[in-house]
Amino acid sequence: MSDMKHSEDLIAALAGSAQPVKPLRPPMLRAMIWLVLAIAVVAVSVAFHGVNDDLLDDLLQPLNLLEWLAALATGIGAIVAAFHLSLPDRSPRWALLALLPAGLWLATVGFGCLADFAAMGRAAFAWGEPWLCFVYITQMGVPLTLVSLLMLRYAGPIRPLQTMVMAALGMSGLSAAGLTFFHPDHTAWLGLIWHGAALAVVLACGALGAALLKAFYARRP
Amino acid sequence: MAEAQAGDQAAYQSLLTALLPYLRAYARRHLRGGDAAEDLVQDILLTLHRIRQTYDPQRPFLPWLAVIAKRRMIDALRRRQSLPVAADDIGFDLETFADPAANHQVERNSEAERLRQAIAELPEGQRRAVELLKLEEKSLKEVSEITGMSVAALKTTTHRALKLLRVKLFGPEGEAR
Repeated sequence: MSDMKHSEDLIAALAGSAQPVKPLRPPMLRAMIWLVLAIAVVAVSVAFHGVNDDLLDDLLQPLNLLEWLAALATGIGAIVAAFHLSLPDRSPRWALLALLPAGLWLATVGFGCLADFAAMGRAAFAWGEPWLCFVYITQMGVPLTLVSLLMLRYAGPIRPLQTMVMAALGMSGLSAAGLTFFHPDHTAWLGLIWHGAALAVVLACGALGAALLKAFYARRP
Repeated sequence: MAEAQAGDQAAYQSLLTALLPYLRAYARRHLRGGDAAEDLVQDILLTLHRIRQTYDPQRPFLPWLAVIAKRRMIDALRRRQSLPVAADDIGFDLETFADPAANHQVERNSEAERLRQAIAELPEGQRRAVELLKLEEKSLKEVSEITGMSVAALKTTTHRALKLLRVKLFGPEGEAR
């Protein structure tokens, strides 16, 4: 595995080559900086797409408002959790900060499906292709997840998968919250399918990033 | 560690040297092979070095180090699981010795060898559960963390493994023991 015959030799080599390093800034501060940048990118893309005329009416409906807030809270919570999970001495329970709102998000979409079914009958589960949802969430989520790989790289030998899955969930949540502003009209069922498919792609991208981080740290210098 | 982060190489060397006996004891507790344990020690030292930026001088050092050691140990165990069984089995010579006491020792070795062989022939999951729970005497919770199996699944797997071992060692009637 290594050319080093003794750990004592390794210690001498590590100490002899040790350059000063600056401790990372607090994870909450780093998460906030990244959140501001990511939200700015999503805001610019929303401005580019334009805002729906009936946005205010949509958001005034309690279920829609709750769904939007849950997506936003999932995005923010997951990014804060990712920055904490990337450090060795922070509790894995930080993941709950994202998982609880993610559960609420899923529950609101599920409730939306039931409400549609009550109002529309079987038509609530008719097939359709609102590609914009899928394309937008993956288009925003994948690059932002890859950029976050740089900031979360120290998670490589510690909790790469948990960290990157949180980062990907965070970007998906923010993208979905941004999508609400110019959302195409479709049933909750189609939203569940296409948002879910996009989330799966972004999470897979996060898992791939985790594998890359792990492989990077598995190499011996 | 804060001094090491600031570039004090002597302080860094003292710290790592002071940690070495503890890391060796930790590695030997979890990995039986001497080389494997030393590899784990070096892996922990290298990881500590590569992510030393993540240590916050305002927080205690040992919890930070403990998580690094634990995560590297889990990865080392996973790597070992994926490796083929080492071809270091030495055939057992059936001889009798002039000294009767020596023959008893051979008898005991032979039984131990049979048990080792029977454990090695168990299905992968059962073998792992028996090794960690019964030979290394880890707790159900620790083994659950290492293998990713639930405590309930571990209990069932171990029960089945012991049942199978009885059959292997004592024949079909051994199951009733």
